[in-house]
Amino acid sequence: MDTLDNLVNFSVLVAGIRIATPILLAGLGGLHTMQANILNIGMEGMMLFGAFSAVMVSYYTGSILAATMAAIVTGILAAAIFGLFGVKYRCDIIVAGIAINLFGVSFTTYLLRTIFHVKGSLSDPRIIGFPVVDLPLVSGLPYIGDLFKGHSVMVYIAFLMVVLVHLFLCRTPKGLHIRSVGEHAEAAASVGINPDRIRLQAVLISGFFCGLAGAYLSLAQTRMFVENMVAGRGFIALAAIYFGGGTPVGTMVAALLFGLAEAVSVRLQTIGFPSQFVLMIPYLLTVLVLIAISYVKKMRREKRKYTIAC
Amino acid sequence: MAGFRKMIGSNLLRPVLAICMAMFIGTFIIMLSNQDPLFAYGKMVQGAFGGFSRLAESLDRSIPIILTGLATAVAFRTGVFNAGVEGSLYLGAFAAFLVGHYVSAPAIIHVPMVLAAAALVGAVWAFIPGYTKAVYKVDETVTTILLNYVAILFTAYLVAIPFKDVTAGSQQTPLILETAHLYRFLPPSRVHIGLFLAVLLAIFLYWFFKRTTWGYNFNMTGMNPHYAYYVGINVEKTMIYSMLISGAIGGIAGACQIMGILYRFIDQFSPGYGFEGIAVSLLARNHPLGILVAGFFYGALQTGATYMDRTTEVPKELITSLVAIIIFFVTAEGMFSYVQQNGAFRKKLQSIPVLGKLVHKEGE
Repeated sequence: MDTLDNLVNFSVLVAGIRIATPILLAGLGGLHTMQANILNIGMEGMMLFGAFSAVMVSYYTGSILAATMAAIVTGILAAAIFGLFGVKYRCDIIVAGIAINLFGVSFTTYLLRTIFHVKGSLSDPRIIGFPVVDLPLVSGLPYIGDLFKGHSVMVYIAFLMVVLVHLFLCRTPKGLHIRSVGEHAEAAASVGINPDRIRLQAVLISGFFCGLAGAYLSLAQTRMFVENMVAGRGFIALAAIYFGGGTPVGTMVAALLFGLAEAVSVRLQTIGFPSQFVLMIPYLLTVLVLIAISYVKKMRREKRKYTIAC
Repeated sequence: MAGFRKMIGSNLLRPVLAICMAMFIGTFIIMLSNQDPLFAYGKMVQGAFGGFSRLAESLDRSIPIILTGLATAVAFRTGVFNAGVEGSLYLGAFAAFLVGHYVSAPAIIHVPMVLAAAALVGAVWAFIPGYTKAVYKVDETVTTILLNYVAILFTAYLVAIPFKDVTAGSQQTPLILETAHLYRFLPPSRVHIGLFLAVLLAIFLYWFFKRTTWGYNFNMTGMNPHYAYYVGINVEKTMIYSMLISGAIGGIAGACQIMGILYRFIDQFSPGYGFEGIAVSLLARNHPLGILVAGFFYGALQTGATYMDRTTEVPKELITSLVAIIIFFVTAEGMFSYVQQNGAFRKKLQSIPVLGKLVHKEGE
């Protein structure tokens, strides 16, 4: 009973929310590319660029706003390279994603070593992190109030974004265009939409969110830059999108589940349980969900074939 | 002769142009960081090819890359994007440790046994995404990448708790038996007979794709699965077979590192050989013999980069960044069709003697 108390309590939930936030942010970005029918493997690299430039600008200017802006701009720039080659010059989109990830890991490490002359990680008191905000009304509530304490402002922005992305995709013409290009590009083109331009725009939006996610990693979760600090979160975000069925709310739920799993695994580690198995959960779960979704689709296809034959 | 020239044109021109382009960009990056590009590149070349021991190190570094490159190419040829060679590599390596440590036999039996075990485990691991891709149409890129993490975490657990060498501080297993070692034929370097295994495998695959019915089926499935289906090729089976072979080679790549270099399983021993294999396979455009060249080139790049890192102020990560740029340029189909479609630009290129012929040929 004691261990169970230790595992499921508010501090684990709060940690889960914090771990979920970068996954959610990147996932919201990847949603747009997913809706435009582009498999965005490159989020990992975009996040790394965002994380690095956020730390660098924060180090030199001490302004959190400038750092966030820099992260967004570099995230979009990295996405632009990905989009330029992946969409315009017709590289295989998967290959372009792998290349941008490789570029992200190696080039940020290169910059870290040539600009700051450090190996491994950079932490410095000059790096300013995101401010911590307690929501004034909700944090006073009994029981659940603790959930809203001590989070950085980015956490709230991330969850606010869920609503905005939902509205954008479902209620605006641009969102509709993105979805229509993903659904049937030729049909969209026949009504005067330029599919490649829409795809490129979706990629740039994903760069915006990945930049933010990177900034969160380096300025809210740690206040430092570590080589390859994204460490697979881009893929977990991709998994969260699949898991959530490609919707913003679904992605949020998936990100929270994955965050919670990791928070629990950190706890389990402290009581001696091999953490590796818990860390596997998001990956295994996603693979199983992917198989299940495809299995259902296959069944439907076969049923349809059957009815036509009759 | 025309066929040969065309082959050279499409297979060699692009990688070489891409490499030149990347080196050019690299020159700027080095200059921006206030270093001398010529000096840095010079040190890199010296580090990769300068003298017997440097050359041997380049060879030694390229063995796993050639193997993972071949593993990736087999799947690519069938139109299956296997990004999971890394996972097969880890599990294969661990299987190699298990058989290499706990089974005792004379070397002549033990070595093939260890390799077979690694190949089997690698293949079984690749079967999961292969089967789900072929039968349920699950996107194999996503599943293979996600399963990589599972494989790496699983071996990390095995090496941290049940099989840990308790006398060592770091996460590693005890040594494998000496009968399972791969012979090092260029002492004092670490180049082992896995190199011949890689070369033989490349030649075998070249023959396989060019001359056998199976190889033809593989190619057809990759080029156009619908057509392949209508001419009576069992597309699903072909995809699964190619993933099995791909995973098996990945497992062997891992085993070679254990049997030839490390002699034990070490947590996180791979610096991403699986992903380097993807780069090499792309660079060689999935041509098995090309992978030998591209794999050695990549190994030399990494060895040279490490040397450059030690002797100059330019970090080795620059070279890996350039590799990413090379991948972009090599696979940018649209960029080359632009060159081919734009008449004025092509004429300008054709006026350059040697280059012009190649451009013309590729346009055919």
